[in-house]
Amino acid sequence: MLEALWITVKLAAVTTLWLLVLGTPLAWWLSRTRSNLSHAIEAVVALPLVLPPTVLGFYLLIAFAPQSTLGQAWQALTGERLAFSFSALVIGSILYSLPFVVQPLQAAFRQLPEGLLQAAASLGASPLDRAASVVWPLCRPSFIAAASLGFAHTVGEFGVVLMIGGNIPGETQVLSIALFDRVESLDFDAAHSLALGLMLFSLVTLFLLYRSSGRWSVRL
Amino acid sequence: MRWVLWLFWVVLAATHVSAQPADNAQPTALLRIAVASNFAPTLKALTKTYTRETGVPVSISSASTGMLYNQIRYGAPFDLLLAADAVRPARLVEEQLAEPDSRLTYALGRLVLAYSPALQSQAAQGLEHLLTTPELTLAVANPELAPYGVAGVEVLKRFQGVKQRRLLAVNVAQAMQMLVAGGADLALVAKAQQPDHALDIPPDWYSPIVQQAVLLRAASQPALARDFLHWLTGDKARATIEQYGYRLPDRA
Repeated sequence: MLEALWITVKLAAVTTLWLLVLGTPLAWWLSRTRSNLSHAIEAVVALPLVLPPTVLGFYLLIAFAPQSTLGQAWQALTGERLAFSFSALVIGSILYSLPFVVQPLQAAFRQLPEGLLQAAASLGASPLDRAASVVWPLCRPSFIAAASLGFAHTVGEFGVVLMIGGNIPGETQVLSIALFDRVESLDFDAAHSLALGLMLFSLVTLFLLYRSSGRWSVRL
Repeated sequence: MRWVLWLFWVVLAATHVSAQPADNAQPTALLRIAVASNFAPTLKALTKTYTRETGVPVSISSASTGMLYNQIRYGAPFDLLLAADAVRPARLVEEQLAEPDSRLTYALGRLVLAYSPALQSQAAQGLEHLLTTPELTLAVANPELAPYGVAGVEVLKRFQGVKQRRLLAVNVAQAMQMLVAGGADLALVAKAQQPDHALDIPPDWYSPIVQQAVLLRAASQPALARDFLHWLTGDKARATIEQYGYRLPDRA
């Protein structure tokens, strides 16, 4: 059970980091561009909100197979098998939790007063300087919200991991799958403690999130 | 909120540190077994003994036989499959995903009729009485997905025309959950699930539930896996398998 907890936390942490790295530029571009393509990309980003996880899981199962193009490219690059590995779970989770990170960031970037950025630029601030001294202080609460939601949503994942994880203890068996496993084998005692643990964790995360969004008011 | 960020970095750092020894430790002999859900508790008891005797650690992944079969086709890294039927192992051999000479029957499933505690007095009048009592709800596994469902439907064919409501579960585990949760009064399940109240179904009422094991071509530990298969047919393992509610195949 501790093993499943560790895999879950590790998966959520690695996924959140990747989501911030990939999601921030994407959200920035989406908030600034006037291209028609952006609506198509927004739709693709939002897909996991609407689709059953089994759809994503099914496509990823096929995409990650050792005989597939992606599976073989991964094997050639890393020397490791992709299907039913921890890396496969990370890729699946990034796609699955993408809207939870991109959407709050995009909304925050959109509300940034353009004048402030122009003023900073006219005072000679480099793009990096503008990001650090204008964008970051103004959007910090949104970054925290985005990261927490991405983390929590990955912890709550089930359908995708069920299909692409393979329920391997110590590698791909996360808490939600371990819970399913215990219920399947009618081990309700273990199932109760897992379910209660997950519920408390989610409640605490959301509580901290709502409390912080009140406290982290914008300071200029 | 700052401590949350700290926790986040600590976890990431720990991930990085733990990744190294784990990667190096993987190739040392770990046996990975994919097992049909109904046999998972039995296998856990078996591997405990096996690991104590041989020192070989075993990782167990359980799901329905159909799901495991699909996972294996899409590259799951298992050494052995312990299926709940003979069909999927045979198909894996046909598709050249498993070693033909390794396929063997390790257990024969036994079907029981589990009933809710409220039906104790009716149950005393026998199996046929329970299966013909009208207005009861009976859960049976889906014959399309579960080998025990095929056997269950064969049993029900003997009682056509009885006014009982039938619920279709994805597998015997779900059929059992329906009974425990109160949605069903009766459930045709595996004896291995060890229901509290149940009557044995005569073996000649259904075709044998042949559970077969097979060594996978993709195995990273083929020698260990063969060793385990051999151990699985030994006296000690057979005694445990029988004790958990299965019949044993004749010695080859």
